[in-house]
Amino acid sequence: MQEKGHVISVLNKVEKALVEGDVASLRELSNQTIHSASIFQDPDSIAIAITIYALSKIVERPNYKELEGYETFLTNSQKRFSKAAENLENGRFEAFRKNLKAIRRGADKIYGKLKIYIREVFRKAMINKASKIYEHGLSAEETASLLGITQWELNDYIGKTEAAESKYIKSTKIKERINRALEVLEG
Amino acid sequence: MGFPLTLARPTPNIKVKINQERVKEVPSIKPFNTLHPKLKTKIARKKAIVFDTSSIITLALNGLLWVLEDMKKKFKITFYIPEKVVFELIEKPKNILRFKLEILMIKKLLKKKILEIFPSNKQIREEAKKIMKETNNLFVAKGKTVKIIHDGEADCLALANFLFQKGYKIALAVDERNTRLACENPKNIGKIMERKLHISIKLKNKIPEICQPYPIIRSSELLFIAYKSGIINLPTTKQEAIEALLYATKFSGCAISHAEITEAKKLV
Repeated sequence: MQEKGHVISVLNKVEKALVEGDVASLRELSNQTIHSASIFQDPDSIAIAITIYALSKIVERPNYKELEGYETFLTNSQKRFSKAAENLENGRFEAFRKNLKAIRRGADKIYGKLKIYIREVFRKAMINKASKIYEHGLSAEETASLLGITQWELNDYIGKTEAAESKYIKSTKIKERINRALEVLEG
Repeated sequence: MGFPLTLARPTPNIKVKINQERVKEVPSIKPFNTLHPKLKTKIARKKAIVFDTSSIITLALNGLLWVLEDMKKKFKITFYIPEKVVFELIEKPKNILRFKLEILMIKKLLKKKILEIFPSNKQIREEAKKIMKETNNLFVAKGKTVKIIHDGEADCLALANFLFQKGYKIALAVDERNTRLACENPKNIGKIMERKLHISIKLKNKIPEICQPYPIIRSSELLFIAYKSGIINLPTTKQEAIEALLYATKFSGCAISHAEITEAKKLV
């Protein structure tokens, strides 16, 4: 676990933002975490970033609030964040990871539409964060491997981002690339 | 009149005298790239394109895998993928319904030997390890080395290097950004990280030469050539067809920019 102190502070802020329904703060906290996740390639930071981002997506949708199980899911998530911060502070890393996993699996105990919606939000959050990590400079395969998704899912998503627009990705002129490819094909 | 057809010609009893001095003059077999240029042109070279996962995925997501079959026929070239790419392409996503059809299409190409799996060997494995070690020890952020390429990507480079050393005319097809930059301009990976992470990225070691001087292409260049050589026909102008094909690759994950697509439209 990298930057333990920073992660604990993030977890405490998440709990507060969830109580207040503060979507903007949740997004900001997720972005902060994804930065360190990209530097340290730390699966714990990645899991936190995904969880916070998914929760921000769930909290921002007013129609979810009317569905059965929403309040329980949110209350349980808050409690688990608090517990995760406590476990991390005391160096109980396994318990901390279980808390995070329990938040992601929170939807399993819900019946009806909300269960499907929450699962989908988490899946999309995973791919969204994967594309962010890829934008930060990791390779596609490395990113997919860190997040436990396939490169198919990542490719399907990164094309829609601005990752390919950086001035640093162009290293050879396309004309030269085509000509050199032709030399091999026709050679 | 010659011998009757039913009889074998008697073998003339000729003793071949081997000049031992001349035998000593025959050079031992050298790797292709070390041969004299004149000699190189006399030998017909085998040619191949090594694909990584990303370039095959781009073609598959656009329903354009069939292009490989026509290109193979037209250019008489072999298309290889390393063993590790098979896992990422087929095994890992096999339970995802969204990609089930694409995976079956790839399996079909493998069955028809349009796409061939190149079995790994000791030389390739060692080369891949070396590439991983050198590339993933290149940058340091906040005191920690940053891993920039993964096993499958290193395996593609190792296979391309191996075939190049064996005398093949090689191109490496990679849509993914890092593998390409690691070969062509590794410093830019550090620059991308610095810009996105807002921290200082330091170069730890001297830039390694991880690939041989073969061209690195993307699915976009392959489709450009397929269109130019009449393999792909589309009911529109040349410029619009290239635009459509190249944007299709871009939106499926190929690292090609808007500016490059505009440039390609002028070339058609």
